[in-house]
Amino acid sequence: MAHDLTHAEASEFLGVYALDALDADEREAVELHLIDCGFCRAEVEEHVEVAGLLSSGVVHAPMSVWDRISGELEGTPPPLDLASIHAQRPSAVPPPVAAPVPDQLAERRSRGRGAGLRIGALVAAASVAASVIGVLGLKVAEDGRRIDEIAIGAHGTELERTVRAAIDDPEAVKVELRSADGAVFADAVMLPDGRGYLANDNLPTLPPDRNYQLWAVVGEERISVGLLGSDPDRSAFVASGPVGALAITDEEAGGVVASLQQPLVAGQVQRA
Amino acid sequence: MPMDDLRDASDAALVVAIGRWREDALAEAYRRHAGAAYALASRLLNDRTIAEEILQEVFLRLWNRPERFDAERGSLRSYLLAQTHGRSVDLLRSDTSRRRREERDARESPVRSDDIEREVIDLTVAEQVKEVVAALPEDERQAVELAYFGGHTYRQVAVLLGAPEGTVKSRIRSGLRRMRQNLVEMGVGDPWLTT
Repeated sequence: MAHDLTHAEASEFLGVYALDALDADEREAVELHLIDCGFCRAEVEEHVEVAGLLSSGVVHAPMSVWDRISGELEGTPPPLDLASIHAQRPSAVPPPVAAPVPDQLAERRSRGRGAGLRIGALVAAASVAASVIGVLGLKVAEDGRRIDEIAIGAHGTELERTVRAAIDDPEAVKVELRSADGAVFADAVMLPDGRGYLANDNLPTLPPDRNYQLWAVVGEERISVGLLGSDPDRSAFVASGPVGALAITDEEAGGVVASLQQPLVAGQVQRA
Repeated sequence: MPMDDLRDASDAALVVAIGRWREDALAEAYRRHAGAAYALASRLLNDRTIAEEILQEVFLRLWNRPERFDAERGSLRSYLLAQTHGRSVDLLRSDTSRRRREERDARESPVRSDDIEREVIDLTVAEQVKEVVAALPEDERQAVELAYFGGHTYRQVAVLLGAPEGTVKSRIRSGLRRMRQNLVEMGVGDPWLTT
């Protein structure tokens, strides 16, 4: 299908799209339309829901399949090699961290929660993360910038909806923060007005006297944009200015004005 | 969330627990929905071994990427069934599986009026679904059935039914809309659909 679909054209395809009854090129055209059309997305969701009802039944899936699934889970979650990262904490200047090679990334992708990520995006994100990690620990601007407490006022469902809306915002920028070995991740989304949200992560829970701290890299400055607590969940932050990268460090409770820690995860803000 | 609470947890809460690496939450999701997913894959592919592989793939995907499920956009069951259906159809349309479908189609009449009803078993809501399906105009039911359970594209459905492609698209869309409208009127509304 060579052309973009009009709303009327796309509408005609919604039923067959929901039933996977389109050829690949038509499917792609419909999905392009769905990106910007909430009305059509809502209709597709209704069709998918109805189609799911057609498969109602009392058939029991084989427990042998569950045994296989459970066996596959034994290797996950991926080992969080924080000990080695902490061991690398420098007293002054940390050495740069080597970027993982594509083969290593492919291996992680196949066994970890990163499965399904686009290869190119992951490789790029990991490479960028490694380079950011290399420079972030060098020195942190001690310019007296205040440590912004994360806007924790918005909780629960409201925050969930806000984060979801931000993710769906076509102008939002997704930031994939990754550890050097790719095992630890945090995904953030940033809006043009500077509001940002930590949407998803697998950061391990810290002891009560430790805190995750989020940093924005603006030019050569590393600016604290929030404390995430010891067990981050979805969180809001504000990072104004031309933010080039985000990074998260493990700090003492209450946070620090300037960090000499290596980031646990980092990722570049890649604007279109 | 204590393990004992998982049986009473909503699907959305289960997925949150899965996001926190709770294997028992995935087990509960499997207990609730794997049967329907397995039945759908088996029906589409006519091969229990491949259906089991798809079932495994779908639940491992839920484990690895739980954030892909959005509770505000539909139920966990419909999400898992959509994943199952999409993967099954991909296999069905591949060259290696084409013969399998041809063999299956050769054994079955392309249009069986009781196909959809057979999938709906003795749950209270399922009975209502059965009623709604039975009330569909025959041409709409045939088109939905061939596309959903047959794994055919709408163009293939058009050939099978000897109808114009545009007509088939319209029949499928109107059939799905009619079913939803009737289900809502019968009281099978969003709360059930999203449980």
